[in-house]
Order: sequence, then structure tokens, then C-alpha cells
Amino acid sequence: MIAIKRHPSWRDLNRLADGELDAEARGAALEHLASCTRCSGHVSLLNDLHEAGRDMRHPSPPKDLLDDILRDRAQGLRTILPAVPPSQRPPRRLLPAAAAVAVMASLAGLATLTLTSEAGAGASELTVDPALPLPGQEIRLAYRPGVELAGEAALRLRLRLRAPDSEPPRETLGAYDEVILQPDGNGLYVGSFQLPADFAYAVMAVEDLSGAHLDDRGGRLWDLRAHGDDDVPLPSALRQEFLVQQNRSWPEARDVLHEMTLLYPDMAEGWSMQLTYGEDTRLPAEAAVNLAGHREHFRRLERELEDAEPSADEVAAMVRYAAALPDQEALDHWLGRLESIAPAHRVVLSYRVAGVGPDPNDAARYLESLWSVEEYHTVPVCRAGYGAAVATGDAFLTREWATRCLPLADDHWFALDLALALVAHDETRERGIREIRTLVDHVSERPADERPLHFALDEARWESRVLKATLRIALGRQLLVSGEPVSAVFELDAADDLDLWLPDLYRMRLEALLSIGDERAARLDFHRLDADPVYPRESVDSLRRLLPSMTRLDRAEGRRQAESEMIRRVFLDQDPGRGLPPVQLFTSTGQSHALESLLYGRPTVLLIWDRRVFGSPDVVAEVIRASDLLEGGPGQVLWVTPEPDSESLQSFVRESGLDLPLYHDQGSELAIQLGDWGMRGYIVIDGAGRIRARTHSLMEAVRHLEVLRLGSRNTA
Amino acid sequence: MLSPIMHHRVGNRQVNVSENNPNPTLLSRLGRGDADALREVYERYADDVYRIALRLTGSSADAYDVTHDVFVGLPEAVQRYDPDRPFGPWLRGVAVRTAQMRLRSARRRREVALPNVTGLAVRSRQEAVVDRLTLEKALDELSPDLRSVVVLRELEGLSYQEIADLLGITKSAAAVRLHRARRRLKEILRGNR
Repeated sequence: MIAIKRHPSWRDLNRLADGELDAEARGAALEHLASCTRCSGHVSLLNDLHEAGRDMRHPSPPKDLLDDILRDRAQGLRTILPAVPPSQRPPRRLLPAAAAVAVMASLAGLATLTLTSEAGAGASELTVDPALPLPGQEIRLAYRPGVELAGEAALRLRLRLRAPDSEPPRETLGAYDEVILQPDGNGLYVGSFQLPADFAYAVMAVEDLSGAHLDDRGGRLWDLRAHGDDDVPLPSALRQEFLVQQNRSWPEARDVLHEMTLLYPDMAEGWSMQLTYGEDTRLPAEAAVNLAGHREHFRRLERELEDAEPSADEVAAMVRYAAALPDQEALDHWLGRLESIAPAHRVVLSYRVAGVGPDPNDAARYLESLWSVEEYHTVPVCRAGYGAAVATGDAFLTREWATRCLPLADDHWFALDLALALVAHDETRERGIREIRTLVDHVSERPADERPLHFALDEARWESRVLKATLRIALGRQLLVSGEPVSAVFELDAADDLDLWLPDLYRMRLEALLSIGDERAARLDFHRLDADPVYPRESVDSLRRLLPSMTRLDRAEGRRQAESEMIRRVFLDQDPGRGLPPVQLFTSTGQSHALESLLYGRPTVLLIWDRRVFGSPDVVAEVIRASDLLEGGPGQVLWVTPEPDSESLQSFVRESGLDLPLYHDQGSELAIQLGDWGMRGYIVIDGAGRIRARTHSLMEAVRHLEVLRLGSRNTA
Repeated sequence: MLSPIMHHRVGNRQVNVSENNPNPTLLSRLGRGDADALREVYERYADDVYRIALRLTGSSADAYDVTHDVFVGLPEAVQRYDPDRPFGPWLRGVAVRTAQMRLRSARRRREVALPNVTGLAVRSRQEAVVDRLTLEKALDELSPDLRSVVVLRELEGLSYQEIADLLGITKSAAAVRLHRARRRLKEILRGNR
């Protein structure tokens, strides 16, 4: 549960100072002010503004002014004064709600911009003793640092311990442990800690005590599995490792599954996940070849388990296996059996919501019955219940589940979804807004030790800013579609204060400002969209038509200023970059090339992309658009993949219409060196061959490249 | 015969137009360019016009020019005035828009140091975070649009609706601009401390 500590919004503080808050809200605000110096400082400032305004004397015009006026008129001088327009009414809304929703949808991919510290891998080394630990054992660590961390008085090893039943990792509030490593006088840093009795798997990284420099093994992290007395990794260790790796590295995750089926051939879990994962990772040919073998395995396991008393997890694995084959009859059988022994098991919930049939009301009823038992007031039940309620389209039920689940929400995104559901309706709007502001406050005050292992402190701060902006933008969007444009502008302004470059925010705010009739204010956001090299030109053109009083001169001047702002915001906090790693890449014919030699001095977006994992049509379309945007200019896109050349890959390239230089990164060496191991990443390299930015959004990478070009042009 | 009492709603206040407006004969003479009528209207309203112009432009020279332009053009402009509306707010609206036009077109900074311009008294409340001099300096950093709403709200004491009426924007837009102006002032004042 996320702890609640909420400051009144800036808007509420304004309303308090203006005497416009109702009695209840005023009482709550005053109570908060009594104990919060930050907010009371804001209110003092506002009161001082009133006071300072009142203190001003009323100056009179100079005595000779009237004489000048009368003389000038007598001499025939006339002035044409501006007309005072009649009061305006708010014009109709400009866009249907669906359009604003579409704007928001693109924000879901708002990328975290990360900064590199050093490649990290290579020189450093971590030794764990014993290497094959049992749960509950004491672990001794010896770390030999690379250049970046050498010479520190002490180091900190941060680790995330996972138990057999830990949920799949999400970008959630972290629960990390740490071990301080002390120098031993021989170039090593040593320390020890005790594994918990329910230990299954851990990932680790080392950093200096300030958190400024980090060694995360080039993004791979170090890891540690729980073993049995026979020195074989426990099944729970392999399961947890798979859950961690499936979001990080496709080949690594497959290796874990392979190991699981070798070590535990009688467990359905490894086989079912291997089959499912083979399908998910776009290797249908491979899956088809093995399908007959899988069917045989499945029948054998069925026979063995039929009269036994398998655990809930074993039955859940059979459900997954039946679903992957697919075998509907077996799926129904094993799902029924699982439901009878563990009605709130994650697998039951997922099939109840997603696979129960065409009527989502069935799932909603099932989950409603679960909720009536207090034992099942859990996060998985909440997620399923809320999902089912949304699927029914029943607004009341959705709000009901949102209200139930908010106190249990275990990560920002789920909490945000729930709070937005409340904001969408008049009667629960205030509560939803409060919840989202609580989230923003929490992000602001999030302690440094909650950051993910692979984030140095600066990266975590950056991520925090992006997260805060995203939360506020989401709230602004919901307020806008709920017909509250003024409140929407306030939220979007607060997000804009974070000094990030956010075209989707500008688009949304432009609409809000136009809907309250302030075309002059809306122009600023138009100029930003106009200046953005990635924002679709056709959208800019259509927005232009909504600003009839803007002249060509206004547009040119506004765009120029917006470009300067964009350059500053996009490269805020950026260092001048670092050099390219000395890595060899390979063509389809096996010829090797140094990365640097492939750039030809051109600004480049390096697309590190494994289409087997991220090969959806959306991603392909985005890659094609990025190439189109850069076509004709100095910039280029190079595609680097860890996938070896194959007929399958060539046919993918042909069929998808991709026309990019393609190079193979054997052993993911480049990705490891860049600290982007296992992820889809875009690296921005300037014309001097310096790495300037790393992002997980391709459009953002293209924007960076174009902003670099604009920056150099302006400097020139 | 007594002239009928006309009522007009400005913001949430009902204004008795006949009590506040110059009499129709005076406005009629003003519209014909009568110098005495202009003098009479000037004596009644020049302080208001000059004060607003000074606060919006932050420059005594600009305030002088704005006031000059408003009254030189008033005999012609008054022909567009709707007698059903109160005259004072209408004239202040003209002054606000004239000052805004001047600010936008000239884009120039104030020419005379502030204390000499406004002749403001020194504040006694030493503990205040913001004194009027600091406020004046901070106002100078705002764009004309934002400066206008702060001046009209904090210095002229107008309601959101009255600000909206004067600037020809909606009440919502006035609220948004004021909110933005205060945020910006907060940033500026933090930077000054």
C-alpha cells in the first residue's frame, strides 16, 4: 500500500488565499498548513502579494498631461483606440473525448530517458561464496571494482531478494536490501549477509555510497540462485529467475526454461512455459516441430497427476500447458481442478477474466463472489476484479472495484488506473484527484533506496520527474475529457513545470485553452508542436486553422522561441556524451565492421532491436516512420540485432518493408557494452561519434537527433 | 423628469449605471469633440487610467503615453460605447488594451527606475516575503497577458469576471492566466531570494 501524505494543490492554495475554498476544504487545508512549512510558505507568499498590491499608492498623472492632450487634439491629432470586446462565452469543445484518449494513449509509451555512467562490465568481478547456496545460509561477497568504483572508501551492494511465491517484477515500489562492502587491502571489497529461509533468487548491483556511480554489469546485474542439498537449483529459483529474465532478455529466459525441463522433466511448469514462450517469441516453426513431443509430455504428466495430490502451482502449470497446446477439454478439466483447490490463484483469475467466454459479466460475478470472502482481498483478485468490471462497461461496478482496490494498489500504474476511474465521474472526482496527487507526492518523496537496481541516483531522479509528469498528464487528460478544462490546464501546467519536452501535453493543453476561449495562451503550445520535429505535420496544419488571429510573423517568432526551449529541455542535464565502444558488428555475409566505421560521421540512431521479441506491426511501423522522418537529412537509422542471419529474418525484412542497414551483434556484445542488454533501446550518436542519449522510445530518439542538428545550426 | 435608473451586472455586483456614469449630455458633448467635456471626463477618470497604465507598463513614460492616447482618442471611441454599460469599467478596459498593445508592439523595458516611477511608500512589514518593490520588479518579468491579470486582480481588486470582461476573455481563461501568473511570480520571487 502506498503511504498517504498529501499537500494541497497550488490551485487549492490559491483558492484558500482568495477565500474561495468551501468550509470543509478550508478546514482541511488550514489543518495541513499548521504542520507543513512548505505549503504555509506558499500561502504566505500569496498573502504577501495581496498585501503588496494593497500597499501601492495611487499615483496621479503629471499635471501637464491634460494640457498636452487638449493641445494635440486642437492641432488635429487623433488616435484609434482598441475596442473592448464583449464578454466571451466558452466555445464548444474542439475535440471529442476519444481524440483526447488517443492523445493519452501515446503517452503510455512515454519513455524514460536514461543517462549512462560507464559500461561497467569487464573489469569488475563479484565472487559469491558459497556459489551454490541453500536458503538461510550466510553469503560472503568479494567484489573487485572496475575503474569507476576503484578507490572508494566503501561500496554498497544493493540486492532484490525473491521468495518462491514472489509476483512477477513490475515497476513497483521497491523493497531492496543492501550490504556495505569494505576494502580488504588487496583491491577487493568484502561483506556478508544472511539469506532468508524462503530465499529463491536474487539480483544484485554495486554502487558507491552516494549512489552516483553504478556497476550493474552492463545492465545484466549479478544474480544468485537458491540450491538444494544436491547442489541443484531449486525449481522456485528457476521460476523466479525466469520471471525476472523474461522482461530483460529473451535468450536468457529461454535458457532458464531449458534448464528447468532438463533438471525437472516431471514438472509441467518448465514444459508449459517453454511451449508458451516459444509461441510468444515468434518461433512458431520451432514450436510446431516440438508440438508432438509436448502433447506426449502432457499426456504422461496427466496420467501421473490424475490420482496424486498435486500442489496448486503444479495444477496451474497444467492449465497453462493445456492452454498452450491448445487442448480446450484438458484446459477446462485442469482449470476446474485448480479452482476447487485455489479459487483465487493467479492462473484462475487470469482465465476467469480473459478466457471465460464472451460475457464479461460471468467473470465479474465470479470475482464479486471471491471478494465476499475477506481472505481473497488480495492484489491479484483486485486486478482481476477491476479488469472484469471495466470489461463489463458498468461504471458503477468499475468505481466500486476502484474504491475497494485503491488501498491495496501496489504500484503506481495500477493506482493511477483506479484513481482515473474515480476522476471520470462527478461524484467520485475529488477523491480520484486526491489519490493521484498523493501518488505525485509519493513519487516526489520516494526514498533513494526504492529505485531499481540498474538506476544510479541521477537516473532515478530523472525517472521520478518523468513519472510525476506522466501522472499529472494522465489526470489532466481525464479532467479534460470530463469537461473540466480549467482544472486540466492547472494539472498540465504543473507537469510542464518539470521542464521536460512533452508534445502530448502541449496538444492536450492547447485543446483545453481553446475550449475556454484563450487563443493567445494556446498559441504557445501550438508553437511548441510546430517546432517539434517528430509531431505529425498534418496535425500541426489542422491546429493552425484553430488559431485564426495568429499572423505569419507571430508563428515564425513563436516557433523560433519554442525551438530554443526544446533544445534546452531535450538536452537538460545531458553530458557531452561518451565515445563508442570498440565493438565489431557483422553483415549477413559474415563481414565484420567496427561500429565507428559504419557511421560515416553521420548523426545516427542506433536501433538495438530483436524483432523476435519486439516484432509487432506497431513497432515495425514506428521504425519505418523514423526512417522516413530522417530521409533526405543528414541523420540515419542503423539496425543492430542479436539475432543471427536466417531465412526467417530475411523474409521478415522483405515482408515488413524495412529498408535499413542491418548488422548482427554477436553475443549481444554491443548491447552489453552500452548497458542496454536484453532491452529494446535506441542510442543517439552525434556526427562526432559521441553517444548523446539513450532512450526506449524511437520517436524520442529521432527528436534528439533533430534537436542535435538544430542545436549545432543555432550554434553555427 | 428624472432619468430612468439603469442597472447593469458586472461580475457578481449589480451596478447602478445612472449613479456612476457621466450624464448622457456630457458623453454626447464628448462625442462631438467638445474640449470642456473632455476636460471634465479627464478630471474624473484620468487617475484610474494613468494608474492602470502605469501598473501594466511599469514605465511612467509609457503610462503617460497610454493616458495621452486614450484621452486624445476618447471623443471618437466614445461613439462605440454602449450607454447601457457602466462607463468607468469600459474606459478602464480601453486603457488596459491600449497598454497591452503598447507593451506587445514595443516590447521594451521600463525606462525609469521603479521607486521614482511609482513613488511608493516604504513598507513597514519587514518580515514579509514580498514587498511592493519586489512585486513591482517581479511583475516586470511577466508577459503582458500575465501581468495584466495580476495587476487587475491584486492591485485593482477586480473579480475574475470583471477581469474577463475587461480583457475580453472568458472567466475560465482569466482564472487560468491568474493561476499561471502567480506560479511564475513564485518562481521569480524564489529566484530573487
